[in-house]
Amino acid sequence: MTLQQAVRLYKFVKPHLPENADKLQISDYLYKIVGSIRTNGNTGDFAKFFTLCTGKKSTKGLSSEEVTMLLAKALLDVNLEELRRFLEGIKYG
Amino acid sequence: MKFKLWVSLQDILDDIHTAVEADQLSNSIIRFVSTAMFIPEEELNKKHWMEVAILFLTSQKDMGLDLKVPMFSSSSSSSKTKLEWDYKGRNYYAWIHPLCTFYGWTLEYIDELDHNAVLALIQEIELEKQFKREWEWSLSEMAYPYNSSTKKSSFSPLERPEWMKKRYEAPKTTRIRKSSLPVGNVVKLDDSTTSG
Repeated sequence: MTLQQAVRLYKFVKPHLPENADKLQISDYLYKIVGSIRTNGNTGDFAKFFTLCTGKKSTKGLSSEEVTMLLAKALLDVNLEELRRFLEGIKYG
Repeated sequence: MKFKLWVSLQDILDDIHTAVEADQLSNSIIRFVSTAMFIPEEELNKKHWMEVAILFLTSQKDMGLDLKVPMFSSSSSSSKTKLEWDYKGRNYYAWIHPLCTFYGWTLEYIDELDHNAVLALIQEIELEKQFKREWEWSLSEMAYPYNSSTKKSSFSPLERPEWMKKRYEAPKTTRIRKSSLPVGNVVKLDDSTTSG
């Protein structure tokens, strides 16, 4: 994931990031983020999150397993916690 | 690092620190790495963010000062309020102005200098200016205010900038030989026990 995509994703997902991320497995990490987007976010936020993660416009035609897989792959690729450390280090956000 | 490049990087760093939008930040970081490492922006735009971040942190480290110039390592926070006469790129001219005035050097000559040398010389210029101001101050009447209670005038020195003031240092802990310690009963007031 390029810097531009990663920063866009971080800015969007920042309020939904779990606090004890180091102790979570990727599936729980993703579950917590999605759960927070669903409960605290606005309508359409999940679709936006999916687009920012995968670059795909919508989840149409994809099964829930495929959606989860794509999101987990994207989160593994971006490494949000490392990105958070980097951006906090340069005092962004 | 050449001074001209250093100033350009400082300007981009300012953009990075004031960036609010995600694209503004990522574009500034890319521009910084591209300027510092002479890598085309298009190439950096295709790299994984972590690679760009490592390049950014490395190049940021390279532009640090080898010399510990107190004027530029002062911990006092400078306000970043925009002045009426500010414009984009003024930073460069503000840096070189004292050098041009003091030494009569050309822009091209200053651009080629090492940034450490430039900053050290700027501090020397500022020091000389300050000492001159202090001398002039000591000759003026205002430097000797009258104290009505002592009925005397005493010298009041001109205040120095923060970076010229003596910095607070924590007192050193010195070990004392046991034989030098006082002998006899030591009364501990907290738990009223005695030892000797």
